[in-house]
Amino acid sequence: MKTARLILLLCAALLVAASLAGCLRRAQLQALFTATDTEATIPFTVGFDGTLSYTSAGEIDSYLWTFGDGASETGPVVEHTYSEDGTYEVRLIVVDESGLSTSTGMTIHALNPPPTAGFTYSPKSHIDGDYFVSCNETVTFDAAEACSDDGSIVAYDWYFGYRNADGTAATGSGPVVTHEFLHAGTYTIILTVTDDDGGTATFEEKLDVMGGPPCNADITGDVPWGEGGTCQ
Amino acid sequence: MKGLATLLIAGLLTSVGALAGPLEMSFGGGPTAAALGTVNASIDVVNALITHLNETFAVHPDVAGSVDPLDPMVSGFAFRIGERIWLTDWFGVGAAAEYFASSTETRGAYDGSEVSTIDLALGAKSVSITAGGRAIFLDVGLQLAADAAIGYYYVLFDRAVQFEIPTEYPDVISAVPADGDVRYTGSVLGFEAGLSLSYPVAPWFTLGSSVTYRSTASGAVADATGEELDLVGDGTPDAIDLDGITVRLTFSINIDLSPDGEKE
Repeated sequence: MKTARLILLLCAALLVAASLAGCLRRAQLQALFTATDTEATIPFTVGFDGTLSYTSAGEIDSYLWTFGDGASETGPVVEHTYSEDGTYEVRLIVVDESGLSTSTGMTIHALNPPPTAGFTYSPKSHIDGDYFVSCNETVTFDAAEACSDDGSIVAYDWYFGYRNADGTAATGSGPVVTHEFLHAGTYTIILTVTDDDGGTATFEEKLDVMGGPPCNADITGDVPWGEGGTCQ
Repeated sequence: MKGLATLLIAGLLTSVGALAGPLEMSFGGGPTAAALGTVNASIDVVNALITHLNETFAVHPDVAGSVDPLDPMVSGFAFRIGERIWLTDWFGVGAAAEYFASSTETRGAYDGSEVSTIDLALGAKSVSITAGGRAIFLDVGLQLAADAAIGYYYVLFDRAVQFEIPTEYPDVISAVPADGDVRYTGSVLGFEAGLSLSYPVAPWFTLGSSVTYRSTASGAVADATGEELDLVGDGTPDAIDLDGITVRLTFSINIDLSPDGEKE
């Protein structure tokens, strides 16, 4: 009986000792970092600072960064430039003095730079510096000003600022298009260009058409000059 | 694990009728320390974030204010009721149910172009059912005994978080606590062991105190949608463990169910 009690006492003492050890706070290591930005158009340079990482004991021994585009770097504070558009997972791995390691990540959006849209048209006349085109005149629209910094323009979509009698929009496509306006008025010409990365840009310009009857309801603006020839 | 709890309760109820020996019913409570290791480690990280923001805005010309860090969840209060059947004059078996609670909170704001509030309130509660034994190894009026038990622990964890970073903060932080008021639940298995000191004030009443160590498995807690607790917001779930020490004062009522009216 006495032996059994001693064994029980010994077991209890061991358990209490183990519990005291277990109650000691466990070491904590947490990777944390800041980024100067998470979304911008390429070339996109981001500064990363991992000094916010936390360890409850000792010091952080090493910082390893992977940027999601195959590149990596070491050090608490680094910089990286993304030259290709895409979504990247940047990850910081920290290792403390005891060899314990942990990591955390952040998503970076490197955006495709949008193309630039623009066009010219001809022929055009002017009165006191106000340019206009005439009814029934074939106007050539040229999107040669449109460009893409990192690729090429693959689509040119034009809207000539009004709807046809059947309700469809007066549109065109291609880098150079021609169009005849049958009614006098002010039309907003809109060019939308799409580059090979899917980026889009629009450019719009108001165009005065003179020499014909007043615009229909789809055409905005006043008709400043109505003494020209008669459309239709 | 719910099956184990049912088994423990069934064992508790049947033991009374089956053994019909001296029965001791006890209740008590007292301060308790729980490790809540992963949670407290995450609290350390949240505090590091708060400290970083405090340091940043302490020198910022357009933002004023600071936020106190969270206290760790290492202490709380436990209340227990239980019963024990004495099989011999020095060894008894029994079961107990215990309620444990611990909480921490902080609130503050940064006043810049707009007021950014940091309001954190965390609370852990557990209800446990344990079954085990007590062996008295020293009886000189005062009784010194060793306790051991295994049990089932049901955990509730409440997280109410508002963590607003002023727009004047220049960078993006990789992880911040997610806003929300969410309750997480889970359960773990564990064991308890400790020492108790009892003084029989009267044949029917005993005053005692005990120190018990509790060790539980580390278990995940999840909200109603199944999403696990993530205090820091870095995508790494925080497990709950209830490892810790409880010191309690207990009051026991002794009912002698044996036929001869004495301990066997």
